[in-house]
Amino acid sequence: MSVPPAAATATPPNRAMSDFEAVYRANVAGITAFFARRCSEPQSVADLTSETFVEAIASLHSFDPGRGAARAWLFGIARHVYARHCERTATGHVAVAELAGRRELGEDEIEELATRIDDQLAGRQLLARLDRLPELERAALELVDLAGLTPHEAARALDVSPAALRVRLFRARNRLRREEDRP
Amino acid sequence: MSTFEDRLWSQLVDEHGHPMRRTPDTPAARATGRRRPAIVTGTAVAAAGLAAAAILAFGATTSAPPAYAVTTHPDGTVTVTLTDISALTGLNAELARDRIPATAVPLTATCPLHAPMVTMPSGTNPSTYTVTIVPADIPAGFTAIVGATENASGQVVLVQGAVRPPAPACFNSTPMPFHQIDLAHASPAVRAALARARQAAESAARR
Repeated sequence: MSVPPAAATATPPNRAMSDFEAVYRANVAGITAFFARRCSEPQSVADLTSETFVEAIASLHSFDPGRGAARAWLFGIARHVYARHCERTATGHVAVAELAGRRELGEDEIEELATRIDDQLAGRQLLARLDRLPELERAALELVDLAGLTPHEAARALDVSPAALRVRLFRARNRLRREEDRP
Repeated sequence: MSTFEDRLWSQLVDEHGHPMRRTPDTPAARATGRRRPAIVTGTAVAAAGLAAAAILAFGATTSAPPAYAVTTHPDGTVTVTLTDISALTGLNAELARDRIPATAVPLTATCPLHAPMVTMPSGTNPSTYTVTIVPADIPAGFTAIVGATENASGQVVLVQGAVRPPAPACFNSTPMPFHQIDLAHASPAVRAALARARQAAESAARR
């Protein structure tokens, strides 16, 4: 995906902001799709995408471009954000926690996100089929085969070694293949 | 770029862009650790051990945002956010830079100085985990204080009050008996509140 130049903002953007905008522009579609595979509500997809980038801004200081690609870093955050969302949903704290900072969507945005949710139908169905796989295998397969991360990036996002990631990915693909072969 | 993505970017810059406007050497950039969202109740604030009746009883924890932020609203109110207690110096520098008559101080168990501060109406929005200072509520001759401490889970708890300047370097966070509270700098409102609290405590003790 090409990265457009930093958009003009109210205050003169410094290097950190323009760098982050480039990271945002390059990855926002992938992160939105990640949540569109998990939620069928446009507002939830918007909230979780927003929360991911807010967390990314808050942890900019700890982001070391030398350690790994921004994409792996963002998907790592997105996974944490989603896990927390599930935890909140389970404990009933979702209302207060998620209303903080929520931006009400315009009708055009709802329409746009609904389309993206529809676009992820196949991905959502695949995730549902992988439901019985161990979490790490499922995550490896999703990040590499659905989200398009390199195995190296997926390893960073999942905080495992590249070798471990490859093993998980291999197993997940094999399981999926066996399942497909089943009459 | 889609409408959703453009609007989200604008929101990120407007509401959360603070750390990106700093150089990497500032406290905000150095501050460590993301904190998980949490709700702090009045009990948690009480557990922070604030002097009875001298500091208003509200608190807030922060949720994953910049280490600190100061936002001045069109109505003159000022929202202060702090997620990392080690960023107090940076927060105070920001308050000074924005010419806001408020000082953030740590509430510690070892500080020799106990409250009183003047109590102020709650300006805290529980859904955003920040403290909002309403300058119109600060009595003449006083300056706003944002007291910051951490609860047992390591989350920042903020309280708000006012003192006669200059602001002290810290406040003691442990509760103290009413009769030990130094009222030299307290406003009439605080003295009256403490007098009522003392009477209530004494009559309760007699029963």
